Amino acid sequence: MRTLRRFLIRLAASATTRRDEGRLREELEQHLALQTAENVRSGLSLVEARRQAVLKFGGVEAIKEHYRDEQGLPVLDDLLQDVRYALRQLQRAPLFTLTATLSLAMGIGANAAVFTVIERVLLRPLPVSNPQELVFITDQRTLEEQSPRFSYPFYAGLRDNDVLAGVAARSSVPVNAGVNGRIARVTGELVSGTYFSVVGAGTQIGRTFTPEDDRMPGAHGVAVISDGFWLRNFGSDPSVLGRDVQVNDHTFTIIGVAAKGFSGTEVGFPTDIWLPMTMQREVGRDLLTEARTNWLEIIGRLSPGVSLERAGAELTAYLERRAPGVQAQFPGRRLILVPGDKGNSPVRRDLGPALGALLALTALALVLACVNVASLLAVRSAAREKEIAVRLALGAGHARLTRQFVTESLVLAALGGTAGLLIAPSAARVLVASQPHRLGIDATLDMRVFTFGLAVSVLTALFVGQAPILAFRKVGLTQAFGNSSGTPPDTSRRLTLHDLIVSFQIAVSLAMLISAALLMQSLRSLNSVDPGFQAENLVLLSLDPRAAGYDGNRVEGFWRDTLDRVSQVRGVQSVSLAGTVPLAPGRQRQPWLNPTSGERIEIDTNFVGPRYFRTLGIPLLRGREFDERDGKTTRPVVIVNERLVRMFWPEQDPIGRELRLPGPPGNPVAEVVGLVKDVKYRDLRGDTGPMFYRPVLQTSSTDAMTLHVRAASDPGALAGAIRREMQILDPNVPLFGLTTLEDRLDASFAQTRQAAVLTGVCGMLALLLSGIGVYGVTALSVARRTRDIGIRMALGAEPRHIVRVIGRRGLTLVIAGLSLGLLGSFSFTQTAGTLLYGVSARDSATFAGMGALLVVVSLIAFCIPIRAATRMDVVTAIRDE
Amino acid sequence: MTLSFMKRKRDVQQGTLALMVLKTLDVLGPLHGYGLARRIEQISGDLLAVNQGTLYPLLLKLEQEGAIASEWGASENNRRARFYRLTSVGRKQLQTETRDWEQMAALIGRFFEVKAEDLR
Repeated sequence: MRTLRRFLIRLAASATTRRDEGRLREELEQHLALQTAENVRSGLSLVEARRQAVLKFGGVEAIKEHYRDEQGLPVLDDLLQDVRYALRQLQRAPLFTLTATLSLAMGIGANAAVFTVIERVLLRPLPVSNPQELVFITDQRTLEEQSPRFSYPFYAGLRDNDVLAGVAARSSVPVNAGVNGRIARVTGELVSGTYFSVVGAGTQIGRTFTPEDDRMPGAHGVAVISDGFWLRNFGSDPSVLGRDVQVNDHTFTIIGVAAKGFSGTEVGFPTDIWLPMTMQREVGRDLLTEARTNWLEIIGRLSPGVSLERAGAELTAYLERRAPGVQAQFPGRRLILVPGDKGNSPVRRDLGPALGALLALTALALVLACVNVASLLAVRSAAREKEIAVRLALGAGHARLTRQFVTESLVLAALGGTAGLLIAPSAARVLVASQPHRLGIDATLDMRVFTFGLAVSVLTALFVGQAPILAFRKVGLTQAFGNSSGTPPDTSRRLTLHDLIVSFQIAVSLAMLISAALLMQSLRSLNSVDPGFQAENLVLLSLDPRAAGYDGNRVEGFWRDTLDRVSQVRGVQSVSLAGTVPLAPGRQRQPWLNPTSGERIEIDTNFVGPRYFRTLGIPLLRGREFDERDGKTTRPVVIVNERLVRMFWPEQDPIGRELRLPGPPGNPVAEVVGLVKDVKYRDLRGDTGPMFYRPVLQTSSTDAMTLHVRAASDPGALAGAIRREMQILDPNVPLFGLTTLEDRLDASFAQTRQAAVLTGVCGMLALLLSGIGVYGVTALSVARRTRDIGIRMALGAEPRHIVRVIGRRGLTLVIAGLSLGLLGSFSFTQTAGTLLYGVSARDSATFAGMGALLVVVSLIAFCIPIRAATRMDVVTAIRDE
Repeated sequence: MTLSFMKRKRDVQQGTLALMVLKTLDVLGPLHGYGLARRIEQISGDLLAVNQGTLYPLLLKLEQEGAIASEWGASENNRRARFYRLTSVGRKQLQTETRDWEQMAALIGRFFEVKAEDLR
């Protein structure tokens, strides 16, 4: 208690730097006065009395020191003093501080950003209770497909098992959710009544589903919404419970809002609204009795103390015993349980290695940044040798000096780390946005990322702080004072680790810059590629008639009505439909019989509506295009592209030829009525493959189709009008995926652009770092040889001689780095070859240009200290005192 | 050479000075720093020398712990001096430490008195 009280008083004294020096001085004065008076009384002269009193008293300064230590906390005082001193030092060299802080900020920020994404996608456990007990139920087949999927009857057979503490089924389904008449395409999730209790997620208001909410097909119009959906649509209004949300054409009552942070088990693809599994027909599925359709993910919760292997084996045995019918479909199937604590994410396999590589790259960049800052610090401490010597001579301990230098680098790292963590969230968002996958990841700074950043900063400080410490360890008193030239044994002929790192930096930045430049040129070439269609002013909007309950018989009428209505919207020039959109993911292939070779091959087949080629601006070379007359009652027709003709009927006229449609042997024969130019469907780089086009109106498929609308002018205004028309035609048909063909075209550049931006940014960063590196090496050598240079100049050396003496070393490093970089670039750009287009991976102009850029930057970095060296005052330089 | 330097003096042992300060303040009431030092030296029969470099930081420490309190007052030569007095906390501390010290002294005494035949 006493100790604590005292500690708090001292802490307060230290923190406020408030010292009661006056009180001690007064007390000591009084003490001396009284002692002197007593000495006088015992018969001494006044002067002698005073002298004796002072003698007896001892060292006043020592007492003060001791007293001060008792007043505050000496350790803390020293630290604060060091921090203040460090800040003063940094303030005095703003350019150095800025450069060092920026390098560290970029290094730490990049690492924190990559770590943020890694943490979100790969490391973070689901925000549920006891996530370590969660398992995904899979088998060999689904494991290979990377998406565990089972049928509903399979789940029903497994549901009542006694092996796991509980099982739940889920399936994501895109739905149209209408709140107050506003309709939006959101991610729905059909879940079993056990889902929330098995997963271990709760609500912030209201309740979750129970098995009672999932009994009778079609009878449970209830929904749980996510925190995000609540915020976006209801402004987080607590009166949301009991309100209605229109999902497709069915009304659901909101019974709960899921806990903040919980958005399903699929990481990166957040769920907006949860619906009971038995309501699947209401959102466009009809799969409860389908034993052959695998669409569910099954999640289980392990009973405590049961291993994954044992539970898997027991579950398999249970299934064979209790649901032999389900198991018979897959004879010998064994269930495998995989840990589900981090949820499931379809992007993990794609992103994992890429993120790992990226983290390695950014870590390397940070190491390079550290080396540079360390070299800058070494330059500074070389200039401060005298100060250090003075302090050593005055009795400062090595430990005390070390502590001070570590504090200085800690302050620097703290500045860099703070700036880095500030830029990390936006950097993480850029990183997420540049991924081809659309990831729903919250990139805000949290405790884990903060801790990571802190750890990185401290490591950085310890690493960076070594440079000046090593430097002052070498400072001997006699050397620093007596032979004050600051010319230690000339090490300039020896190659140091530092030199190697500088060369390496130059090499890396050259390789990166060359790659970035090649990618930029590829982007430019890609921009000028003719895709085979006209992308301008073309609106795309997808429709899903099956979700609104259309079957094969009624769907043809729906498409006809749709085309009819949309074509009458003001501003619409032309409209058509297609199953496959150019440059969008997803393609349909059908097995066609090649009449020339007689073999059956899979060929891309696009179902398109009337006037499709006119709408997209695809040139029709021969024959006619599809129109309204091509329906179910007329003869099947197809249109082919040039590549297909070359494959099926080389050098012949395809028009009028006949082909049996793919599918069962009894399928009708179709006539080729048109030939169109090739179109780039998959990406802009590759060749176009052979392609069949079939009329939408001749199929019974109720798959989603995409409206292609050519706008007369601004496509932006059209979307709303089209939505309104569709609302009138049939409000239940979900509309989704509104975009433009130009956006799709743009998105197809995404990967190349991402690579170009990433390498470009890294390249510029590396360029900056190498500049700092070259500067560091040169400035250090100038600082170490100040006197040497002075003497040479006094003896009549011309500036160019000085440049030669100092510059030789830096120049060697630059040349070595450039050669290494050129060599590295050859192999580096080969691997990036798949992203390049229209430019050689060994484009000599690019290589030369980037090499020249590096030379220029190096020369500038080089000239600053050398200029300073040739301009220094000879007398001062020789004295250098 | 003054009187105080003629005899060989001992420095006060660490830890015991606090006890002496508390006891002196308890017996004599409020005192300033010089007075305390002189009194302690007098009580010891001038066998002890109180080091000012130890005394003032000690007074600060005791004050921070709450055992003593201090305030400004007028000294015998009519100058401002800081007077220290015992607080109730300090009185309790003094009692405990006195008891501890006596027990320790008794214990050490028994060791000094012990003879070989006593342990036979």
